[in-house]
Amino acid sequence: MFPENLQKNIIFKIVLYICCAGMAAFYLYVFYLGFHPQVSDDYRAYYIDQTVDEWPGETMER
Amino acid sequence: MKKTKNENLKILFYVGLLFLASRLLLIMTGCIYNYLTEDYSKTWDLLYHFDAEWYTSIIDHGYMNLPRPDGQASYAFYPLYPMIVKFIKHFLPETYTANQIGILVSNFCIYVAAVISVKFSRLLHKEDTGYFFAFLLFFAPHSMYFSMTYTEAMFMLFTIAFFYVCYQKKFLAAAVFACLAALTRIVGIFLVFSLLIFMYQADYEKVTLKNMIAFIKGIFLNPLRLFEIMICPLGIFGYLYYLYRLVGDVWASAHIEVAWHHSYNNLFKALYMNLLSPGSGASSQYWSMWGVLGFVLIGYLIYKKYYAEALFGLLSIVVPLNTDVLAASRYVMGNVVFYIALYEMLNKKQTAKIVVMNSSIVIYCVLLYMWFSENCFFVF
Repeated sequence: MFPENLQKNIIFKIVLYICCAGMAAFYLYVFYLGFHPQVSDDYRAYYIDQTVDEWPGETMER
Repeated sequence: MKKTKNENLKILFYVGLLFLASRLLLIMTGCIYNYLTEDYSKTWDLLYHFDAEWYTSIIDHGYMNLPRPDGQASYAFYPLYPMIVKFIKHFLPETYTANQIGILVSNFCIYVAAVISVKFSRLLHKEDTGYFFAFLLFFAPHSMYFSMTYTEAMFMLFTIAFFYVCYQKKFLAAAVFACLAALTRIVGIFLVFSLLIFMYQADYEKVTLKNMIAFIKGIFLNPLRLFEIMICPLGIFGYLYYLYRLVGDVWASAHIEVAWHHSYNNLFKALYMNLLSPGSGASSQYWSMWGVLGFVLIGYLIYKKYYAEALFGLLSIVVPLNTDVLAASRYVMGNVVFYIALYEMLNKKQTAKIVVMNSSIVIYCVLLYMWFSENCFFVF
């Protein structure tokens, strides 16, 4: 897709490595957030721990 | 150059004919349904059931930050398809509903996917015309999902495009298609493993530990290759972050599944229990059988040495079936690799092909009729 000489260009390579590092940092940050949900007790009980059978919290009607 | 252009035009024309024939059959089934029920509903209204209602809700109102009283919420559905429909809706008169535009987008996607499928089959078998693949996309049982406001058509487009460019070793394009597929349906994320297999096969003939170590090393030494792998999950991680901002839970789209059905947390248990009893409703046995058929087709892909396709197919049915068999028919027939398996299995067997083609048309119409009647969860 990219011309052969561009792929050998050192600046092009550095830019790609920086992009990859940025994406890796973003993925790790999202994973970190995945272990620290900021949710209500109702949400945790019904969706995460599944200790209640019916949604006990606030609802939205559409 | 001129020969290729003429060939492409020919493919566009013949695939267009197949497409029109299938949609004519769809509309005709709608007419029969209207006649037998002594009612009149437009075809796009007959197609508008189940998940289509969720997608139009996202298109018209965006994602909900609170669930409905039954615990269900729209963030179980992935965003690329509704985003594109919403974008197109901006350019059309207000008289067009989200459902109508969704149907247009889906039909356009499956038409393009069918064109690519013909080129893909010619890439695999030079002597082949490839139209049988397109036929399967338009007429196979459960292919009706490709004609309505469901994500299946767009997902099919990105996945067939992914495999097509992978066979040409265009891995950056493949990575972009994988990224788009994952943003359309979560199982698209598994294309990254298929991409790795294609990359490995491009560099090495044999699977040895030495080659594998050299391959992994090569990924880190070649920034373009690393970049290609890294962009596959970009879209889906963006959506996960959005969910965190919306409801405070990165895994909200997975956690919300509990509101639809209980989880068996075991693939074999889910298949076995639903084969024996109506665990997931009246269609339990039917869905379980689709799950079993899915595994048979994956086995056939492995036998034919389509390892990248087999791995993608395996992961994309094991993960949902681990929870429940609900809508397993859609998971199987909405995934390109099972069409590749069917195509490979039947293409050179003329009699079997004719039997399958004829029975597909009949089953396609029956399932459409059941879909129109809405009260049958057989199709879902």
